[in-house]
Amino acid sequence: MMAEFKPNRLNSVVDEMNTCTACATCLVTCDVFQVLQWDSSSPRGRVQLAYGLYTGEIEPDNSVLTRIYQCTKCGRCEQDCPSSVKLLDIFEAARHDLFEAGYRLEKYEKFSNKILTEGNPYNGEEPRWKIFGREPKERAEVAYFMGCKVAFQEPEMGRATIGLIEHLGVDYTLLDETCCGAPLVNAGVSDEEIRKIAEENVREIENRGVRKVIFSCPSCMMSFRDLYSEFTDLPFETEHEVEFFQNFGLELEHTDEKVTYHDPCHLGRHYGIYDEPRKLIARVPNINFVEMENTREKALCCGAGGSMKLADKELGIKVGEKRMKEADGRTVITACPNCKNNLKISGRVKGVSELLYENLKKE
Amino acid sequence: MDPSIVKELEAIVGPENVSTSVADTYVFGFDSSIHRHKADVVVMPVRTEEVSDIVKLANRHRIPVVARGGGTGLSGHAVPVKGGIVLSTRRMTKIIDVRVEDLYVRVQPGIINDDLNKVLMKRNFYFPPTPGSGKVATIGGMVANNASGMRAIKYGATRDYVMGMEVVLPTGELAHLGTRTIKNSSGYQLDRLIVGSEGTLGIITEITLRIMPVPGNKALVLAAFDDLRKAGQTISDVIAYPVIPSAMEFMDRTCIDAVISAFNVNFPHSEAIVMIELDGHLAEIADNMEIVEKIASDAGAIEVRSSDDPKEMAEWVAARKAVLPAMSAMPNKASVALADDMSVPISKIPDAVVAFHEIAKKYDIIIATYGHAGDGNLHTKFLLDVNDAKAWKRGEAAVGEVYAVVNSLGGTTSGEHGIAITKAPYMRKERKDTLAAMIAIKKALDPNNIMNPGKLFEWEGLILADLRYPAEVEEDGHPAEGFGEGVE
Repeated sequence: MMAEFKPNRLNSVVDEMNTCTACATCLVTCDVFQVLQWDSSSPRGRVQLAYGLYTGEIEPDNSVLTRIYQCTKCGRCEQDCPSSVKLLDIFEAARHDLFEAGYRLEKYEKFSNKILTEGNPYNGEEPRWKIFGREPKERAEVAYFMGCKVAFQEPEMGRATIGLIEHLGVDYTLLDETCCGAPLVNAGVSDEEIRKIAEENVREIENRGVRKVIFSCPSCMMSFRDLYSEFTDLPFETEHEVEFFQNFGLELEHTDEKVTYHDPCHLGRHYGIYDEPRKLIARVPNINFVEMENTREKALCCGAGGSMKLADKELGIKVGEKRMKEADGRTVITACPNCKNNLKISGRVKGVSELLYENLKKE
Repeated sequence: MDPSIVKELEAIVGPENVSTSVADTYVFGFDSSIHRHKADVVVMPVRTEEVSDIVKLANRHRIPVVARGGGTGLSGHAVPVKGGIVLSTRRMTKIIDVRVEDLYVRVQPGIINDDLNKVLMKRNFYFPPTPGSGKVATIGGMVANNASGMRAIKYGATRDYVMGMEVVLPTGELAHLGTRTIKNSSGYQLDRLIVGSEGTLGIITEITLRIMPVPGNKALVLAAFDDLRKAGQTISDVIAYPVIPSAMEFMDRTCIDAVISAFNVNFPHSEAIVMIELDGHLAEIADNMEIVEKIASDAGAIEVRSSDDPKEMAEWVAARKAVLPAMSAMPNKASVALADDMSVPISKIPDAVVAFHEIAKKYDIIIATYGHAGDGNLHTKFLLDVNDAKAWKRGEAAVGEVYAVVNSLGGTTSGEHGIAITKAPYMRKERKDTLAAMIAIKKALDPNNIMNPGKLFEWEGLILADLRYPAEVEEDGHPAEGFGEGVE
């Protein structure tokens, strides 16, 4: 049902929209714009569309919806903006107000409904721990929050992470987890729904006496750190697995595999975690590691962020292809199941945990 | 837009390169100026022949055509104020021929300044004008606007590098203007006519640009002053010596305070800072550095620093570039492009800046002044509460007084950003004895007035029209208050 469009959340970002001088700096490094070349597909264009929605000058038709959602939320535009405009806040506000008024791209609506009714968007019927054959413990020091992508689309990453945790003898548990809510934020679903999810996931972890939660998926971690903390206290630490594994010694086999590393936007640009994955890769004796042309703060996006492929699958794949060209035939190591899932369409990709686990010295 | 015309456009460039969608027609109505107006259709041609066919179609049906490069114009050049076709050159990005032995490069108009220079620099050459928007501005847009940047004092503006061009005239006919030779005395210099014509006389589809060898070494001298006039004295004395720096940048107290407060930049608290860039051979740089330091000290600088360390120089340049973000960090104010690039005779800079400060005070707005002091080109950043119609009206009145000062000092309305809408009334006043000639040329070349209509001498309204900000500013029917009156 479509209601009258009301700029409820856009009202809170008017100053941000006004601060944008429309200088177009963001066009240079926006991977989506670089593929599409239409000004309306650039961060500046999206700010202008958000402004048009705010003032009521434009109707939120399919063309506006598509442009608003053609964004991976990689954050490069925000990083490069000379006026420090909070662009992602503007884009999220637009998505929120559109979704709330019932202006929804069909795929986002289906995806969101699935998450809200089934706890994941991928037709996963059984609990995630069952996939890995490990029942959750009543109490444990550490919990592994694997996320929907690992559980249902990239289980090898999960197996490797679980394998490493067990190899290291960590007191850990899997969880009766539900989707972290990041895709719902991407769609524009209301805070109330996300609050419920946050409380459910936090309660599940808290009840098991967990002190630290580790993640394979930077977006899941971001939900806990940045989103849940708006609704509830987090009575535990959160760490990405590349941070967690820093604390342990690992005996690894030699390999002469030619590899490179792709910085996931949410891990690198958002949390500044650039060195940890590289240090772990460098622990593999003899590994042949070369950086890509654009790395760390300047890394290109994988093309899958922001649930963008729901709006434009082909675009997501093209952005990924562009990134994979920089790998020049090397195996791409990354630290995000979403990145892996999209980049592997255009070449060989594995997670940091997979690289470590497959090279563990056999006892 | 008549669907049959859209169909014809699709037949010319392919349906994937034509859009009448709500999103595209809205966004292509903006550039980096304060204005916006919806387009009827957006087209993205690839080849010259396609541009020609589009223009022929538009001319036949009397539809406005607005060419658009990077969309970084600050005065509304690419805003389709009469609707019609926005023709984006984003897909015309070829470098056709690099001829270092003949000192030229031939390019399509959509190539971005920095992308072109990346290619040229591999051969140790470059295209010298360096606009602040060089990462996004296209060569076609730079030519149509006669853009330049901080190095104009030594290396000139875009017009100084245009040797020739291919243009689709408003009737759709193709014309080759200028040459591929360094010298050219063969008749009217029509290529020069197109430079700065802001898309009103035709659409540039190919440009032959002169290129230069990349200069060698660089050094910077930074001098801080407790008095604007001492800074002005230094600028004039350096040039009169003569030392011609590759750039000479100026910042007033408003800018200095803002960058120090927002980014804790290591600049002296002062009334003015002048940053002088020297380039050339090492011995020449060393000599000039000593001369410039002495001139600044003699003029009464409170601090003089010099450096040829690339890291330190990059920090100073970054601090200068931090002016805009520092201004943006000011609460409840936004930086708007009003009266943003006047040029005055170099020695008149202190008079201009002192007058701008008085005008800012009078109208209770913030005007930060910085710019390319070496060539007399100043940038004033107006900071307003853009939600407040009254603030806009005060800004408009201040603009009028700013230009009155500029004219009284022998300056010009625009040094490098062009006229389009935001500066049209002031350009008309300044160039009143050449308007008839401009209008005659326009009529001769564009009898149906389809090329970027409503701009320059045709702009009838006040400057606060089609604003892309929330404030609803009513036009009161009077020209900008204070215009024509000098400020002592």
